[in-house]
Amino acid sequence: MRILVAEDEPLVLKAIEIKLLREGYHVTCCSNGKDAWSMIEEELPNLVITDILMPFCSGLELTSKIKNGYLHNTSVIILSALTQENVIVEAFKMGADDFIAKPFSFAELSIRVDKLIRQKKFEHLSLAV
Amino acid sequence: MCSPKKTIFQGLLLLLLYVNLANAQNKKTGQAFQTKSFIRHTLTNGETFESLGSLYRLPPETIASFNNIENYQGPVLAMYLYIPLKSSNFLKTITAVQVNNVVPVYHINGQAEHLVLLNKSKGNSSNEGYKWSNAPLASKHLKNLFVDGYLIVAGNAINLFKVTRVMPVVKTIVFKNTIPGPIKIQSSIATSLPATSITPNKNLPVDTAQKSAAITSLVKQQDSSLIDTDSGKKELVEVKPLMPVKSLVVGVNKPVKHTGAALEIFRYITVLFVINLLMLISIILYLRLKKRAVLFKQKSGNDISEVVISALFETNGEEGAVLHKKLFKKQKLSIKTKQLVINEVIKAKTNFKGTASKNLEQLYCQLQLNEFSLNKLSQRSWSTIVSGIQELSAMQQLDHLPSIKKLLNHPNEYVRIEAQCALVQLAGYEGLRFLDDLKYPLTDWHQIKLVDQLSKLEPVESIGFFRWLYSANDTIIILLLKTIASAKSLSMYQWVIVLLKHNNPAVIIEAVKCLKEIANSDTPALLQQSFAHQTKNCQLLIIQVLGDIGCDDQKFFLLHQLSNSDDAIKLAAANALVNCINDGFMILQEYCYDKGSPYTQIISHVKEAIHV
Repeated sequence: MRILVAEDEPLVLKAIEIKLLREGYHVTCCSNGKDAWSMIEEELPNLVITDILMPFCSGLELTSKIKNGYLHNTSVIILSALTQENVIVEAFKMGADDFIAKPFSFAELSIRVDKLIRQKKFEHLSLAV
Repeated sequence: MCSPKKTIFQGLLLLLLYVNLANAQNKKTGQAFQTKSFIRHTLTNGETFESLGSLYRLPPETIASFNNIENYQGPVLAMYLYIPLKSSNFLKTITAVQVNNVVPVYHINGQAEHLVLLNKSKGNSSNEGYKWSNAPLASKHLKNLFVDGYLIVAGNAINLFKVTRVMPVVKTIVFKNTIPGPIKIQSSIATSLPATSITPNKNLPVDTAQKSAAITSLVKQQDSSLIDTDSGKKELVEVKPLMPVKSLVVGVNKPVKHTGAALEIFRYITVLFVINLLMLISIILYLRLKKRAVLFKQKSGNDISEVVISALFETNGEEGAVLHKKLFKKQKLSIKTKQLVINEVIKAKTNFKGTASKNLEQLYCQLQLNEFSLNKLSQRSWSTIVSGIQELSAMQQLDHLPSIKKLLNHPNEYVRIEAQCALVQLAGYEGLRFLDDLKYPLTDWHQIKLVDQLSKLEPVESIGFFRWLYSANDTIIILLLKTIASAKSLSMYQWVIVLLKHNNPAVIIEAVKCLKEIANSDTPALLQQSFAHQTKNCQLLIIQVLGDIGCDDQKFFLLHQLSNSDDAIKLAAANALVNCINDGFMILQEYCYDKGSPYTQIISHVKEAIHV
């Protein structure tokens, strides 16, 4: 399973990378929205975990690009400290599959990622059957 | 962007340029100084430029312009005037024929002026500097007085001046060419002189033939040897004044006024340049320090990040401690490193919760950074204290709560605010007990910070909010109302409604806002009842709140407000009617039908609001 993490805070990025690598995922990291989009097109990840406030391209724009293009099957988790109601609503309107508010715990992240990936697997299996 | 080296080089070039300019200006000033000799004339009653002109053999306009006076035809309003010494009225040497019409002009040697300076300042244009041969001076007077030249005055006017006895020199001294180079001229000479005025002596008899004859003979004696520039020899003249020194005619070399403006501009430019230079140096130093800090951060950053990330995933605290000690073994933690670690740990803590967050707190204690933060609380600088409080509260250091409590009434406002917020952050609602002893009003910013802290906490009703709702400090009441609204503490309802009768309109407004958040079915009626006693702003707010929480029961009240004398209240009532009553817009249209202004405009506004 390939996961792309877009986060402009190096320490958080590194920590998420370590956590997901320990969980057995193949992880790609980038620190801004622009790089994230080019890497998504290149790597075609199963899941994208993105922050909202990033240089060049925000997490919401990135989500919109993913969900409105040929990669619409890619799952997106928004990970942000912006926890106002309107921001969360906007994120889901853009097509985000989940929203994790900062500060977050690794256990929470792990469970949500696992859940989304299993959900996608199930959808694929259903389609195949 | 320029490199610092290049900037320093450019700065030095500019400095050199200014120094050269300064030298050039000094030379220029010096020349003007040497060529513009003058004497000072103390004015007496009835003197005009005309009379002075005829006395000193100069055109009146020349004297006037020399003193920066435009009008030379009217009376002279001054204590004294400067009389320029020109070829028409001043001679360095005289002949026996001229002796009856001249007055010797003396230079009084200033305190700091020695003969080398004097020689130059007198305008003896030798290319070399001269040094006095340290020969003993002939007398006390010789030390101070030197004949500079002779003032030619008109005809018998010489009798008007006090005269002195001029004695031939006792000793001949040869100047030697020993010190070449520029000579500094002291402009303070004139001001330091005991007497610098030329005073026409009205007391002398008109016919002073006998005295004139004496002067003539004296001048004749010294004439041949007084100033002999060609031979390279100089003779000094001993002067023994018959009159008191203050009545002597004294020639002074002082920069004339009209060179002052240029000098002032030059000084101004120099000061500006020095300021710019200092600023440039400060900027360069700041950039260098900043660069060093960035380099240090980059160098230590990797190690610190490694430690923080390892701490995030720790499962056993003791193992982690060993790891941290290993990582920091190489370097003894300097103050800078400690601060960097604290910053990184706090930054990480804002992003993680749960076990990771606890691990970061452990790391903070293991590295004894809590002691470092605690130490900041006893510093002088308020910003350092604030930083210490923030660090301790961010890392949930409950053990240090007593130290923070001591700062609750600190003289510095920022320290107080931070200590109070930290208390709430660490102790939750219990921390609000500081309100009991609060001696200062809470600022808006402070209230926002506290409400923000409290909104993250579970509301606790046991601490007795109500007692603060009757505090003498209105800002505490407002803070409490904001907190109740934010936490939606319905149990406080009965205490809040009492505040609708408070004396301070700001408290009432906050109470209405709060009631909106914790409203029940009785609230609209309650607000209606209190409406008549409120200020206009509060009335507008009540109508707005009724629009949000009201129901059909408010129909008649709102319709009644449509006939209020204030148009703003009419508009607010119209909006509220549409918001809270079924078919409110129809009712409004019926009410406003055929009533003209301002109801037509109100309908337009409401329509616009509905569309929005």
